[in-house]
Amino acid sequence: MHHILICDDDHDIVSALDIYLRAEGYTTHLAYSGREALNAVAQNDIHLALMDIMMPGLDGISATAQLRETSNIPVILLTAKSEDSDKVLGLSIGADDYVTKPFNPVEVLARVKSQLRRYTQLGGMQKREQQLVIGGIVLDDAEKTVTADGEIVPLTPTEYAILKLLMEQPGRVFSSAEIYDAVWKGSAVGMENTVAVHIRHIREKLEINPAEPRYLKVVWGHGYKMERGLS
Amino acid sequence: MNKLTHQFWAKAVAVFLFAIVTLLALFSFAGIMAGLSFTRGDLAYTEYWIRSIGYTASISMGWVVAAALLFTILSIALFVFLLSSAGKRRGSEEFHLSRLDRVPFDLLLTIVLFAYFALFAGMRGISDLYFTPLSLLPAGALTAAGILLTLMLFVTFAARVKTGTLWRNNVIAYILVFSWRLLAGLFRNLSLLWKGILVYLAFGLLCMWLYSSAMHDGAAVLLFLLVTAAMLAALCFAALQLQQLQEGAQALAGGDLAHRIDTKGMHLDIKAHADALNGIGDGMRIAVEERMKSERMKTDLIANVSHDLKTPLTSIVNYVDLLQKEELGNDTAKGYVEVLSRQAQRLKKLTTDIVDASKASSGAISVSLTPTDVKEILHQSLAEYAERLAAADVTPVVRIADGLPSILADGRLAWRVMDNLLNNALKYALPGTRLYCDAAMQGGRVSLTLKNISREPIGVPAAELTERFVRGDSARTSEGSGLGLSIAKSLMELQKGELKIDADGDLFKATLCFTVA
Repeated sequence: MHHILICDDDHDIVSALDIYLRAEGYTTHLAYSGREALNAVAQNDIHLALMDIMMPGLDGISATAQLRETSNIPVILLTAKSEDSDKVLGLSIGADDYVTKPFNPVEVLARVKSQLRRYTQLGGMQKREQQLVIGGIVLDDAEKTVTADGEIVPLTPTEYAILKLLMEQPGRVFSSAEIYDAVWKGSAVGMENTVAVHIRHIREKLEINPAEPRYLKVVWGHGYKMERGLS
Repeated sequence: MNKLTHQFWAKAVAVFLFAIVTLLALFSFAGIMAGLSFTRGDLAYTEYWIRSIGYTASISMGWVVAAALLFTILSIALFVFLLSSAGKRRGSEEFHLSRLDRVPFDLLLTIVLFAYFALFAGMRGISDLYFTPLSLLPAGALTAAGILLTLMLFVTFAARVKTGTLWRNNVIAYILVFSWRLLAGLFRNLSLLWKGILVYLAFGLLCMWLYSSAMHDGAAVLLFLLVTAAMLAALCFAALQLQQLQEGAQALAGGDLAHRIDTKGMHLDIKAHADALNGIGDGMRIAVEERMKSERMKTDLIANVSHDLKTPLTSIVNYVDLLQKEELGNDTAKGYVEVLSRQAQRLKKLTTDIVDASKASSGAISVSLTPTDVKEILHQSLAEYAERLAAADVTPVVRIADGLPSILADGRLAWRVMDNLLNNALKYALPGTRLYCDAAMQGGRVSLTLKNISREPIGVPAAELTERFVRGDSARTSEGSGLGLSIAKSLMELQKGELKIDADGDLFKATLCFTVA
């Protein structure tokens, strides 16, 4: 099974994550500072690291930056700051994902699984024809399936059509009316609400935390878009 | 300074030489006169020794004239040197005033005038005496004194001109300045009403006088016109400055605290008023800055505290979750853990809400206002709540007026407002009722109204509901932090909009007013 490094200066949090991850069958390595985390990665065959940002001595951001010089394992940041700038900084120095404290253990587990799947299984996958790929989301138009980090996402035909429309032009904001016109091929009264509800359903199936989506974003007051440029 | 003009000894020698040379020059001229008189025979009846002087002078006229010329030139040169050295001092570039130079000039002139009279009187006394060669000595001394007195007058005049104190340092000037200050002070301390009356009376009297003289003087008519034109110009000038004051006050009232009234060219009451307005602006700016600073510090404090709260909270949430998974074998214990879990979630919500509330109220949130579709945001928000509203048995009814313009809003913040309001409706609406969502134009703005029937009587005046930690149910049993409406209100204000809460019996009404894009 995979080896996971848990690094936080708060011992109780490390123990709690340890319990959850071991219950899922992972082998865990514990570290309580950035320095210890770097040592652990150097000495063991680690597949994924959970890293706290605010730590005495070497903080999580610097530790991640140093880690990236030698290793490309997934790093998930644990942050108590919910500022957008901290997330952007964390992701830009090479972290793959982040979870904000106080976090839900289920969400942490889901993110760990998702990152491991992408790291171990999807690493060398070739993109096939008729496939739309954004981050861990793969839409196969030949098979009419959608997978998130390798797992099949069951979508209704309408949801599939909406997702396909959005994934064909990632980054572009589609208004409800545009989506309705393209998917339903006609207009009717009260359709905006229908579209909005469908999109929320897709988000709930696709995203680990639908309230904080990473792929299918709500552009409030304008429409919806598929995030572009995710690795 | 090594220049000769700055040396005291050079000046002293020059004064001494000047006195002698000038005296000699005068005597030479006297000799010329005597020589000429002798040749004309004017000295025929005078004393022998005078005649002999005249005779000597007449035969060596060339020498006498040469001496007169030489002494005159020397005298003028020394005079120029002394004038240029006036007020100069060793080791200094600036001009200095001696004790004599500080005496008021008109007073000095009077004293010198009396001294001249005394000298003339002395001269006359000598000439009235029996004239001997010896009496030349007192006459020479008196002449030398006159020469020195004149020199002193010129030197002090030069020093005064150089230091610019010629006009100022006069007894008459002092009296004039004092009386002007007295009058100006009296005038300044008059009330504005009396000032106006006085100025008008002065103008009226001047006009009347000019008018009466204009009967027999053409120039007075011109003067009358000039005075009226000057009065008009003064009135326009005052009116313009008053307008500047008005604009300044309006800028202040409009919140532009950095606005400064240019007091250049302003006088008396207008200047005082402008200074006062500028002072108010400064004071208010400082107060606002202080306020902003303390708000920022508060936000930072809350952010730091809640950051420190989050770490233990993470442990609590996680271990409670682990506890729930354990086989406790005891229903009471399970119930306790249930309470712990619920309260931990509530604490979690509270910490994030407190940070949000402080950030929203201190404006520490980045706001980017863009044209936004009110219809879209309403549908998006309702879609987020579709299932939860259905579960609470509250049916949304959307009514959107046709042709609504785009609103100016930050979509993310607008959603947060809607999120809080819908969450409220979810918690407080009576099951089986409808949630009316109306979007319409209202007073030049786009209003979005959410109306629902409250399950419990609303125990707090509607206006207080948007205050922090105030909740409609006085029992505070339901979940929530009591910050939702307060955050919504702050966020609306950040978007240049407004949140109004009305409660009519059990009808709860929240109105969002957005600016039209």
